[in-house]
Amino acid sequence: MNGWIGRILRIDLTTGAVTKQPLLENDAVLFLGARGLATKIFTDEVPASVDPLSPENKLIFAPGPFTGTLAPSAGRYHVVAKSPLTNTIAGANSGGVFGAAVKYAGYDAIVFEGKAERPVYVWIKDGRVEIRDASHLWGKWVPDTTDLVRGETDDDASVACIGPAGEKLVLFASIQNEMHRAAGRGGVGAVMGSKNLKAIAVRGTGGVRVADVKALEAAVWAARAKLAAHPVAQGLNKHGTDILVNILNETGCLPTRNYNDGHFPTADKVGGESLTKEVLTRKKGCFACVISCGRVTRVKDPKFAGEGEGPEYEAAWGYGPDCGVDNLDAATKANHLCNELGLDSISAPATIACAIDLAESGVLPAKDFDGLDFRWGNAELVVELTKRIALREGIGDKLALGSYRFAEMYGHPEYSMTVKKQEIPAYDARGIQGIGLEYATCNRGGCHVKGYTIAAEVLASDNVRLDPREIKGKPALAKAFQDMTAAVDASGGCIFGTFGMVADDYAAMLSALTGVRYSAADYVKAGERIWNLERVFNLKAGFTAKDDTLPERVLKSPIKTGPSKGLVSRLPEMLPEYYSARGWTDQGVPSPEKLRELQLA
Amino acid sequence: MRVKYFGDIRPLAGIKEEEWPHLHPDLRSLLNTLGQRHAALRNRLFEGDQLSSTIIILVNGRSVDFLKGIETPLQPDDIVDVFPVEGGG
Repeated sequence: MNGWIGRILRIDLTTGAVTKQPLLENDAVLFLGARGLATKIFTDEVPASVDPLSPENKLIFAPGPFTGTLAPSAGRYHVVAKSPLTNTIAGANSGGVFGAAVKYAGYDAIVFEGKAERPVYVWIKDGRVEIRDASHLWGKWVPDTTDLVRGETDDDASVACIGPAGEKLVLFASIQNEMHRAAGRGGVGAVMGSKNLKAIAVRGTGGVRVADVKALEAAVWAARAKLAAHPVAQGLNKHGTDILVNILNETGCLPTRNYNDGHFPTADKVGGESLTKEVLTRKKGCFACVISCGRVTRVKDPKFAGEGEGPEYEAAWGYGPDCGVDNLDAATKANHLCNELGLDSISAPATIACAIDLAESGVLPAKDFDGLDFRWGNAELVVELTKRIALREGIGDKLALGSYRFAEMYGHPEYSMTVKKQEIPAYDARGIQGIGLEYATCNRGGCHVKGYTIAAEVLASDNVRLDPREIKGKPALAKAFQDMTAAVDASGGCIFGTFGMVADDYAAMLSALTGVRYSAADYVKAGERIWNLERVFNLKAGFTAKDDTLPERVLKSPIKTGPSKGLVSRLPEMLPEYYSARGWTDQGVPSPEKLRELQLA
Repeated sequence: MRVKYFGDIRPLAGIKEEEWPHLHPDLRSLLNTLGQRHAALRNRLFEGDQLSSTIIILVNGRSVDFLKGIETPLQPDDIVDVFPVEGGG
């Protein structure tokens, strides 16, 4: 095969059996790879009723066809399992170089099944696969684990691993590769921990066959030039994603103190401009990226001192305004801890924000404060709680279940800013209507990145600009972003590539790479197919249209201050049109005709 | 009127924000004056006589794309934000 390797690696951790199977060409053509291929394999093999932390759940790592090639900003991989946080399908995406290493080792996907009797790690050197004892690594943080595994295998191995949070089944534990890049959302790290799988080290020395080298080069250089010249790509390089703090705050849509408000007067202190000035040491890119939005950072303040990467916008918001904090050093330190301990840096701070809210409201009794000072703006608190969550110490043991289950324990789940029990991120859906529709309908629970309507509603997209306060056109917009993103994820791309490249660019590169002719419409259709396959799994898992909703606070409590004062989400007005645009029934179920059209039935 | 600068616009203006005591009937008039005051900024604000496609301007938190663009009328107590086009997530 071209573009695809043509091989799937299957590792049964219960029996230790390792098998290699051919990739079915039809699956590759229809589902592309990464998110699509892994979802296809997962939904074919795993019943929707599976307990996410049982050996019967599977954990699939998959790069895409672009991964490992020179396609610009397209070297990523996807992790699919059933999520212990949401009970939906989980799909977590990460950059770095791990995906390319898997490809060069000769695999389009690695499927982990069962559960090892004791902690293990897996060492993959091209065709050789070893399951090794990891007892000595259990309990180690991500940086030490990565160094030790490299020391025992190959200095050039790429390592994806869990930290203590994954071992201890924190429901929003991440999988970290190259220490600092995260497959962050949905608790895929807990699934890995439940299998006693501490790490995967990969060294690949093979390559990726290309159907038409000249055509690929032409398509890549054309797309690359467009992306590199785009002002958004250049802006991401200059200040990283944290640049968004100020524009969201000035719009009045920066969720503040657990969505009690949408405006934070001192937000600039945790924004990208401040980050560049105060903690940035250098910029860093993922495999084959022409943007390099990664931030290598160092904090000098002895209270929060350390080195690492990030924060991205979401974490700076979460550990900043969402907790009422305007201390960039603390937010940076807390983000470093998320990477070192293996935590999702959105759900972790948003869960902390919920706990502070419960405490400030008198719902969380002082006897449960675990000796800490629970109040808005306490920078030391958010750092300390991050550690306690990952290590499941004191109150951290309960917070490890995420904000929904935590707030529910105290009888007030409405304090949890979640959709399908996953924390919603850093764009206030009361003032930006389209993103609320994405939060409510995303197949992995509350998430912005799988249908980033913000690009058209706030960030002045080249193609379409829609007033964030209006609902007109938003159902079609959300669907278009969701389908395109699914295709980009499935082919190994980074969604930031879409700031400069369009479906025609991706289709031209994919056709030249694989030798399978994709039009722009075929490419987006693959994304729609994947979206529907995920939806069908969730429906089988018991979700219904009732779950496509937002926290009551976002629907009913207007933003209190700032430019978006008085606004609430108008989700109920948008949902019927969204279902209709998707070819679903009014109950959000894909129609038989739609499934046939997508070759899913 | 308060004018605030962000991203790589900020170093071009050499300042985070400034009070603007003069009355300007609309955004075009304000930007013309800002361009005269901060020479480095001028080329970022305009493409010909239109707003540059590389910036986003908010008036009281609303993108002027959804107001009246460069003809958006201004009041003395307005807050005007000047951003580069940017992205992330």
